[in-house]
Amino acid sequence: MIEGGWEYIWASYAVTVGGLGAAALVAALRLRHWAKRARELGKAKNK
Amino acid sequence: MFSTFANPARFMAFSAWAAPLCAVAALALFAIGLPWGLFSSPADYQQGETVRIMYVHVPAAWWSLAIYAFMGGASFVGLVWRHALADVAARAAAPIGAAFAGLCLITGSLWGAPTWGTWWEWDGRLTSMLVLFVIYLGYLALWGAIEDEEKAARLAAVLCLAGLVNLPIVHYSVEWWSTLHQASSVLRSGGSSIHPEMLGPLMTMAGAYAFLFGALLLTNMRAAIYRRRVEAVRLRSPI
Amino acid sequence: MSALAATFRRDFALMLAGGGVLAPLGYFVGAAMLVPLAMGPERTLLAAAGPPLVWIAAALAVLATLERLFQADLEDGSLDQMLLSSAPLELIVLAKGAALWCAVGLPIAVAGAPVAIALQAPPALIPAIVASLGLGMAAFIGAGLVGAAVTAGVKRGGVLIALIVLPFFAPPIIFGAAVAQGDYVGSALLVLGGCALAAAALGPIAAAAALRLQAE
Repeated sequence: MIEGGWEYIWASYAVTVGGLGAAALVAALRLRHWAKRARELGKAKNK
Repeated sequence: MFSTFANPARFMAFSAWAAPLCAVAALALFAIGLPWGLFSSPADYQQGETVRIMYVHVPAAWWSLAIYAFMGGASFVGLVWRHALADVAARAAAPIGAAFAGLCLITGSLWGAPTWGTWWEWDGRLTSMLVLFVIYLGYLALWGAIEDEEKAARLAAVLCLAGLVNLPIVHYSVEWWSTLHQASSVLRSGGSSIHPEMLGPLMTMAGAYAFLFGALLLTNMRAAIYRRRVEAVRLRSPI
Repeated sequence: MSALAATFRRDFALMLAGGGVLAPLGYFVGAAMLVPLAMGPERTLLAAAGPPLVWIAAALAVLATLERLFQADLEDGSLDQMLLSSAPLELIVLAKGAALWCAVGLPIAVAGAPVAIALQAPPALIPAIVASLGLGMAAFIGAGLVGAAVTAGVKRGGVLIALIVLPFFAPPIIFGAAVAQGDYVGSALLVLGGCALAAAALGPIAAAAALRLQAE
């Protein structure tokens, strides 16, 4: 049986959580950006 | 179901609650699955503790493949029926699939180092996954390179479908080649059959990745639809 | 039929014009020349791993020819002519691919003989290697047709084509390398033949679909 290897385990989990978290953050920020622009344009049109 | 989502307004109403719901479900499943995989689940009799990497590596692999199949379906629907949101769905799914494929490669490498003694192995699965990653990159690059959005959508759909045909061929070719040249290691990832106590965390993580894909897909699609609205207004009233 | 023959002859002539076959051939030989330099002076390493690397050189050489494949037709209106022609677009595209194979693929396959020898391939294997290269080039071109069609409007799309087309190059390279190593030569050649047939059948279909979209 292979002993230890916890550094690799922690690294894998950290990369996963970090990578997926970054993807989620980017997606959320982009949504907020374009939703805001669309709302502003909608308000400007209705003025 | 498809016709319901052909209407962007109805899709936006649906995704307004569906996306946060998926996000919450994903968070919950990660909150359960990550500690389960890291601590409560048993070690493997061959691989020891390093088997825990399976819980982040395998779901990423499964879903990166499933997402590409999803893109293929969306591309087909977009090409044949000119479904308004199918192209948006395909493009929105691509970066998620690419991220999963990339994570699969990185965690696979980290799993291989202690178990195989090497950071990379040209075995069937890892190599096919690398090719899938390159396919994702090509698809994303093509979308970015063509200015006309409509045209980009159609051409990218053709490329996606061509890649879908190619994927099993690549997998078969690499498997054939790797069985020829592989110094067979006893410590193959996954082993022969999965210990029942490992199924729990594995399926939980698979569910977590699934809901995360759902949340990110819907979020990306919402952003794309807002962007289209902004650009449509800008086109109509140049300032 | 005459439209296809005309397309073939025109493309073939265009590719050969101005010594057009020399550039891909030169690229092929030049890229292959870099291989032993990159492997270092150790002779046994080249003998063990050298021959399959002829496939890298071949892939690079064919990639270089793909960028202009449909670009020129899109620019000068020939694409519209092709769409109006009585022959189906798929067959016209197949004719273009066949012309490319005759003008570039076949010469590279033949040039593969001296190059493979330079890469320390055993002489008995050379006929199989040349045959495998011929089939492999057909497979490369089939996939290349799709990549070129899909990127036809993109400026300086050469790198993009390479990225798109590389995954399709993997299976022919895998089986071609097996032939170059002398492993399972018979079955590998058969599979390569299958790859070439599939590329010749499916490539033009996908490429024609993309070209129609380009012309919209």
